[in-house]
Amino acid sequence: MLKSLTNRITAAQVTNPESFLKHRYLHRIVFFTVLIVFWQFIVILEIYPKYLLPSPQDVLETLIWGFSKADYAIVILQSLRRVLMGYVLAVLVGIFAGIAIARYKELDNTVGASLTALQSIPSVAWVPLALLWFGISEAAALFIVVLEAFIPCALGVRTGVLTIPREIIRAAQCLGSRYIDLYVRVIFPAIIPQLVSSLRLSWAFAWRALIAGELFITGLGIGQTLELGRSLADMAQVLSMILIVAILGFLTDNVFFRAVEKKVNSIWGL
Amino acid sequence: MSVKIQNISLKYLANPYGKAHIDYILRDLDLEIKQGEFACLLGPSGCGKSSLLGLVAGFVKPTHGEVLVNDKKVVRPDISRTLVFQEYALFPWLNVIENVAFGLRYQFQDYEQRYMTASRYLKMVGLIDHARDSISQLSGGMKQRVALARALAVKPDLLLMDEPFGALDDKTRTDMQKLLINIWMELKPMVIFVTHSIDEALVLGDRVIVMNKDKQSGIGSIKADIKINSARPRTLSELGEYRNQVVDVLYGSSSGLNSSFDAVI
Repeated sequence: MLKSLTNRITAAQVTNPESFLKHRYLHRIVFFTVLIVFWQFIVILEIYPKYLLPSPQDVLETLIWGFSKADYAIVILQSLRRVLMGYVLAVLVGIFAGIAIARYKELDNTVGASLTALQSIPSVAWVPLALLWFGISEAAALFIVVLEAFIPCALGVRTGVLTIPREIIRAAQCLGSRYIDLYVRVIFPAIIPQLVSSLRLSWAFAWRALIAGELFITGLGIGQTLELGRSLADMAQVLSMILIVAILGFLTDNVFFRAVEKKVNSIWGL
Repeated sequence: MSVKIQNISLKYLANPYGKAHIDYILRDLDLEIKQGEFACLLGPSGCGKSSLLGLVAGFVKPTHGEVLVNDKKVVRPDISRTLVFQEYALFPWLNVIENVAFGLRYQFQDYEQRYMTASRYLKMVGLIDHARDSISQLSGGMKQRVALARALAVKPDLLLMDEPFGALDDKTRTDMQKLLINIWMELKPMVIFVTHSIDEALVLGDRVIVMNKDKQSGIGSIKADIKINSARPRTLSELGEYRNQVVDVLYGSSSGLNSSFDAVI
């Protein structure tokens, strides 16, 4: 049953990619329409009070109001600025840490092993510590973002460096590349496919950590607006923010990173 | 110019994940290769021929003894000794001509010189029309031609080839052998060519150095050093006598293998 299903999908992909794509969008449209109709149906039944379950229309109106009258655009930009700052820092730290861990066995045995443990800690667990160290400020959120996002990057870079075929390094060495030049012109480009997947993972981690961190700090941001919605019992605003988080996440991951990954893999012949 | 391998021994850690013990893979081995010579190292897997190549290249440090290239001791990889690998080892993030030009930067050539030199070698291997192609677009034979051009472009004294045509189909392999011989006759670098195909060694080499490992100790050693005095290009039919010699060394004269048997060891 499952096998025949996968067969059908691949067959459709191969014989008629256009109709396959059309189907994909059609499926999505149908799915979301059904979801919204179901949601509206529950609202009409009035099972839950309106302040707990607003209608799809309420959420849409809140979004329109937010973007036209209030500062949703600035809120989003502030969050993006914050996450980008943390992300860039995390990636830089991650790349250097990853290379160092791959290079020195002693570091791999100690720091490398700790990173795996560190990765299992959810970002909210760091919130109390961050608030005490940095206060209810942006620095606290940045701390959490960097801490969360640098780990997948470091671990990915480590794996990337360790799995470069030995022949590639040897070919470069016998052609005269050495020391820092070997890192810049061979090792770094060789790990780029692995690095891109790590960057993608790091971004997802950074985004989650940011929203978690922003719930507890002051200033403008998606997390803060989410928390404001809670304290005002404005469920439409809460849902609007969650929708925005999901859409931004989908766009960066499925549109941006996917395109980059595809391009890189075709060049590297993967 | 010459390569002198003097009294080389190499130990390695056998079975590092199980009951580790240290074994010799090569012991007290001597070999000399003279200016312009094409030497084929022939032997079964595990006889130490690739390790020997690693020693000459400078990737592996010998336990005892030393390798002298042009009377200078080999201590690390150097641009005067370049390698061609079975798995090509091209840089996929660079296109064809950038791959060929890779080493020229370290010979302090400017951009234009690098481009001209790389083009010249690409012409030599017949890939000038593919200069801007990306590596992933090439077939195996084409990849190996790029690797050959890359290794030759820096004008090495010594070209080291580690089973370079082992991953190619028969037709491509024969074409590559012809191409290699033509280029070698033009440039005349010293070549150490590792292979486990008897025919390939006979068609290509000035000398076929037959290696084998001792059954009990596992130590590799040179069993025969056969000079091939036959004009190039060669055909296999005229090499029957040499081939019997090689087969004798490897399997003993009573092995029953004759010259019509296409032996790959």
